This record gives sequence, structure tokens and C-alpha cells, in this order.
Amino acid sequence: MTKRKISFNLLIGGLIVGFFLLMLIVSFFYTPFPVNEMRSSERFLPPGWPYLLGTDNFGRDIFSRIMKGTQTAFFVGTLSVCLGLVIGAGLGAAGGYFGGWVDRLIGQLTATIQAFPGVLFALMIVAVCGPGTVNTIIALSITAIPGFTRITRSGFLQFKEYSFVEAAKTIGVGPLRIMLRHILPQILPELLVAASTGFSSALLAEAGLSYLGLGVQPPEPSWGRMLNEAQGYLFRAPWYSLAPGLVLILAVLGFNLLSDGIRDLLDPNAEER
Amino acid sequence: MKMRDLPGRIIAAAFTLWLVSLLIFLVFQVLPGNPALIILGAEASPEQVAALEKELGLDRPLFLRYLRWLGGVFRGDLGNSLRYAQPVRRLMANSLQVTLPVAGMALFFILFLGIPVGLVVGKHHWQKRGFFLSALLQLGTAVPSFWLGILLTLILAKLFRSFTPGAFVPWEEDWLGALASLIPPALTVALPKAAVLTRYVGTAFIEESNADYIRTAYSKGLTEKRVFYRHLLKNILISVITVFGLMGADILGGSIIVEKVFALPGIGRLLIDAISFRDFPLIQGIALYLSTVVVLLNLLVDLFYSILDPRIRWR
Repeated sequence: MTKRKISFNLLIGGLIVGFFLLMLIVSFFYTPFPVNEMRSSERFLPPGWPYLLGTDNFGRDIFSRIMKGTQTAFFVGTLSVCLGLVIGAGLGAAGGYFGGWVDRLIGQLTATIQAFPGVLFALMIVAVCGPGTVNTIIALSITAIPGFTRITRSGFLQFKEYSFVEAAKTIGVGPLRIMLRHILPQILPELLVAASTGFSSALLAEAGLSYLGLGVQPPEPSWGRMLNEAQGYLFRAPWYSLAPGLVLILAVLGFNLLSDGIRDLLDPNAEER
Repeated sequence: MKMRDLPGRIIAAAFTLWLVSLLIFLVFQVLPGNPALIILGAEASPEQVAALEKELGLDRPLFLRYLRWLGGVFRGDLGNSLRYAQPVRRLMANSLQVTLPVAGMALFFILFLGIPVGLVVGKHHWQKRGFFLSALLQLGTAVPSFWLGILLTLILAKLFRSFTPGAFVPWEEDWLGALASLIPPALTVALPKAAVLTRYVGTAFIEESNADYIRTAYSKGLTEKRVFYRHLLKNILISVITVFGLMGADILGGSIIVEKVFALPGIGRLLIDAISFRDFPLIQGIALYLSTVVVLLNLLVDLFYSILDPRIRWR
């Protein structure tokens, strides 16, 4: 029974993520209409032809803007997850491997970050550094650190006791090499799953920040930003509010399913928690 | 015995809070912007700026400023807002009159939707319950609250002609109207979380029903009702509290955005405004307040844990 479900999560998640990757690549070469071209005679056109998802308050093609928004979403998501992963895994590895005061210090550091609910930490960074894409990435990568630290730390705690690590130590392998070559590969799959989930959280957080007007700034198209602008015309052009939201949900769903699928694939016996 | 670790846990929480306060304070000191300039505007003369700096205590060393700020925090004095020229505490107290009821109602909706639905789903071994429960969780985590809020506004406006989005009536004017206008935002915060809770309760029900102690309870000859209330429910509630602890921070963080959707004059909107105007004392006060709530919430969850499940010990 589990066998069938594995392929379901992986298949659907993979298909959705694949669709977004395709849209991302295509958006670099082609969008049905120029992203920022305003046509005042074609404002608030409902979905149809040639404007697949309708037009917005400036007569811009919503579908083209959503396509372009994929670039922003994936740029912010990829960079913040990568940064969070590298820093978080580094801290977790140091804490788990060395233990003692290093571990306590790092534990305290992550506890401090986690004391800020939801987007609050990101909001503080924006308050200090000002809004913008780069600051959004910095904010989201710091928010992502604790999750990666926790996973890496517990992995290192577990594997440093194993005999292959002891063996490597006996023949004089240095700590850095042990950590990178011997222990890290063991927990890489888990980190991969966390990265996929982290990516969808980053998508949501970026959209949230941009919706508040504190994330990605215009004219760069962002799904969250589009929702912000669309809300003012909710009753005149409901499709403008619906489309970016649905696309965001689909992307988040895709990455969550993919991460579930990878987890099941790597550890078929694990109960879905 | 189980309370033995409590002091250590409280000290750890207090230490975290102290670090949070340090971070919140320091982060706004490294800023290039001068608060005195923000208040006076760019045309102020250097003498005026210097005078105000002295008044605000900005000419003193960083360490003393931190002590002064922290001392104020303990006396309940968070300083004055740069923009509104009012005590931060009063501004926050006003907006909490909106935020706390929303959070409370959201909590209510989450519990009274999530637990019963979860129990029903778990009890009736629906053929595709696994699929149904996973789908709920997936949707609950994927739907952004602000989009749900927009959607809810649209639906409510179509259903009820009298519904005006973004109209908050102050409590003094019409408390019933105020309460009614807080229901949509509370639902917006609650629905995704309720979906997640339903999923956990349902899974816990199915898992715990197959546990050994339930079989033992039945073989002792206990009625189904008694097994449910005495044994099953208690263990399911433990998983509810776990999820709740994780959700507490999310509910608070989510309400920041949801207040913007419904244009509610709550703590979230106060924070967003404060950020836009770089009103640092106000940002500091709100950030400190929100993170204190999160730390205390986590402490409370740990405490409940040990009461409900004597097997759990703190590290």
C-alpha cells in the first residue's frame, strides 16, 4: 500500500515542480506579452483569449506577469534555501560533532532566532536594512537556519559514535574531513528533503513579505506583490486576486509533495508523521 | 519529581528572552538612520538635532542605553513612538484590543473544528482516510493565510450584501459589531491550522486505537465510551498539544499579515506601519512582546506535556 503512495507523491510533486521549472525556463525567452507593457484600453479584461488569465489595472497581461514572477520566486527561494542550508548545516555539524559549549552556544543561537514568530524576524531585517530582493533573501535564509541546524546536529550526534567514524579517527583523519567526507553524506538525503520543504516555506514567506509591500519591489513582478495590488480591485477584477494565489499554492503544494515523495523513497519504512 | 527540571527550563527561557532583548536592541543601534533626524526631519539644524539626541539619551554609551531601555522594559515603559509621539505601551495596548480577540477566536475555531472533525475522521475508518487526511494537511500548509483572507472577503461579500470588507467598528461603539467584524479574520487565521490539527488528531486516533494499552483496556471489559474518555482521548490530546505548541508562533506571525488583509488596527498593522516609518522604539516594543509570547508559550507547552504524559522528562 505504501509502495503505491510513494509514487503518487513523487509523481504529482515532480510533475508540478517540473511544470514550474519549465515555466521558469520559458519565461527567460518568451512571455505571451511584454511583462511591463501597459495598455490603458485593455484594463481589467477577464480571462480569455488572448489574455489567458485576464489583465490587471494597467492593462498588463496577468499570465505573463505570473510567468515572470516565477523567476523572482525561484531566485529568492533557491538563494535563501542554499544560504540557510550551508550556514545551518555548518552550525549543526559543529554543534553535533564537538558538543560541549559549542553545541550549547549554537543551540542558544537557534533558540533565539526561533523566538521570533513567523515572518517577524524577516520583518525586523527589512526594518533595519530596508525592503528589497536582496534583503528578503538575507532575511529568509536566517529564518531557515534553525531547521537545517536541528537536522544536521542530530545526524552528527548519531553518526559520530559509529565505528566507521572511529576507524577514520584512528588512522588520523582530521575532523573537517571526517565531517565532510564521512558523516555529511549520511545525512544528505534528510537535508535534501528539508531543503525541498524549506523551498516552499521560502516561497510563502517571500509572497507574504511582498504582499505587505516589504519584500520584492516593483516593477519586478512577484506573486505576493501582485496579490497586494489585486486586492484593491477585488470586486472589479476577482481573477486578478485569484490567479497569483492559486499559482503560489500550486507551487508550494508541488514542493511539499516532492519532499514527501523523496522522503518515502529514501526510507520506505518510515511512517508518515 | 517531574517538576524537578522546571527551574532549569525557566532559566533557559529567561536566558533566551534576554538574548532576544539584546538582539532587538542592538539591531536598531547599528542603523545609519538617526532617530533624532527622523523626528525632526531633514531640515533640522545641527543644534536642534544635538539637543534632541541629548533628550533621547543618544549621546550616552551603547551599554548604558541598553540598560536604560531594559530597565524601562521591566517597569513596563517601552519608550515613546517617534511617529505618534505617544508611549509605545499605550499604542500597543490599543491594538492588542483587536489582535488578542482575533487570536482567541482563532484558537477557539481551531480547537472546535480540528478536534471533533479529526476524531470523526479517525473513528470512521474511511476507505481513503489516509488520502483525505494527507490532502487536508497539504492544503493547510500550502494555502497562504492572506490569500485565504482575500478569498473569504470575496465569498462573504457575495453571500451577504451588508458585508463591508475592512470595516472595523471600535469596541466602545458597538461591541457586537466589533466581534462580528473580527470573525472573518479569525476564520482566516484558523482554517489552515484547523486542517493541520484535524490531520494530526485523525492520525493520532488511528495510531492510538491500535496501541496495546487500548487492547488491554478492552480486554479488561471496559466499555467503548470509557476506553475513549479514560485512555484514548488523553493520549490524543498529547499530540494536539505538540501541534499547538508549533502553531502558537504561527498564529501570531500569521495574524500580522491577516490584519493587513482586513485592514484591522491590530498589532500587526501597527508593526508594518512602524517599519515603514522606521519608528524604532515601536518596532522594538512589538518585537519584544511577540517573541516573549512565543517563548512563554513554548514553556507552557513543555509544562503541559509533563502533566499529561508523566513519561516525558526534560533534558
